[in-house]
Amino acid sequence: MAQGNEQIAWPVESVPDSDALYYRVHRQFWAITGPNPGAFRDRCNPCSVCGDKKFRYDAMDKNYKCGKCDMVLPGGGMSTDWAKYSTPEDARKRAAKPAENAVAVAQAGSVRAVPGMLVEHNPVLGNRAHTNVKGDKKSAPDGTQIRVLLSRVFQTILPL
Amino acid sequence: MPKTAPLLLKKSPSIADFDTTSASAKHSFGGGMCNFGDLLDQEIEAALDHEKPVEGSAIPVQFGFGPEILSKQNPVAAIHGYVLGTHQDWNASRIAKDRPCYIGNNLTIWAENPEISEGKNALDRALEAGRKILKLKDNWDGEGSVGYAKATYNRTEQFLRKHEAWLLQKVGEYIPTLEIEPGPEGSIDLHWKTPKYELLVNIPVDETAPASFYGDDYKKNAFKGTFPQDETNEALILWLKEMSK
Repeated sequence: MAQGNEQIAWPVESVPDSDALYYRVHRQFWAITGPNPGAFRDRCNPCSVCGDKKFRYDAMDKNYKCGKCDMVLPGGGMSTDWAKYSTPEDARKRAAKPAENAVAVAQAGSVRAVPGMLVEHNPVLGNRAHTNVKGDKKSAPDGTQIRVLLSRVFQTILPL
Repeated sequence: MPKTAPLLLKKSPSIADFDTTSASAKHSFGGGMCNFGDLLDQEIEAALDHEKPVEGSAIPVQFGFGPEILSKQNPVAAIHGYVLGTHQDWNASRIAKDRPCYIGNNLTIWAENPEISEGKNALDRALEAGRKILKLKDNWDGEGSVGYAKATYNRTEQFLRKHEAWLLQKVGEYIPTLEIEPGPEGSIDLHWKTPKYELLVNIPVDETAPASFYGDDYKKNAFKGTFPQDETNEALILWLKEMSK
């Protein structure tokens, strides 16, 4: 879950390309071989100004913005956990329903190789490992392409 | 060999006479309008019972076994038709109602090929399996995910049936096996994945928004685009044709 408004307890670091990112995936998005393209999506907190929940990714600004009032929505993206501060089991436990989630893994460099994807460490209260994968995952047709490519990058590390 | 004779209904009209998108496909010949299902019903019954041409039939019928006969008539590499285990199978199949298969200059009904049987039922099976996502209501994962609406699923089904009808009409192929998966924000993903190709089509919640697709061969050949949900897309058809080989 995107968590941009909480107090930041740790410094933001640079995630090396060779480091692993864990991504928990609900079983509804999980195939026998790993995550489906549908698993790869962004989350943003509701707009703090107008309260709207819709958002879009601004590729020029490299930020998520409110779909209604265009305010920047800090902390948005696809939430992963940096292996430097997390295990796959920790990542699973952070789900609302851990028993219904598997965990996939990818190297940060492989994620960055997907067009437009940015890997940004975004520590939040209670989770120093929290790292956002920012970039368009929902526009048509680029978002459709990105989801396919991300589904190839992430591999199973903790099955259901 | 059971009496599941392949039929060739020769001298059938041009492809333009076929309307495979309607619920009760009809086709004009001999000056009259006949319901396809009824016509084929009679022809198949004749084939099963007699295995010989039906005298006085509106369309001359040639019977035979094995792919040789079809190959002689249709030198098309991939000839697909319908599996007819029994007469009852035909009556029960949706094809009898709205999916005449048209190949070259012949309407074909084929038998004894499990691959064809697989193809014939693949879409129905995928749609049945995919229906489970309708059980996912808002916040189904406890993390605020959006549920899936029946209207979106119905549009997905229409999209697939329309494209399969077109695929059958143009190249005599069934739509390849696919998975119907939950997509982002209540949208629905149609996912084809083979060792050679991968294709993803997304049907959005908003019926006025375009459907989008991306496909590639895991190498350099890729295509992507958008198109209105209520239209067929020729680029997609060509990819689906390749994937069905």
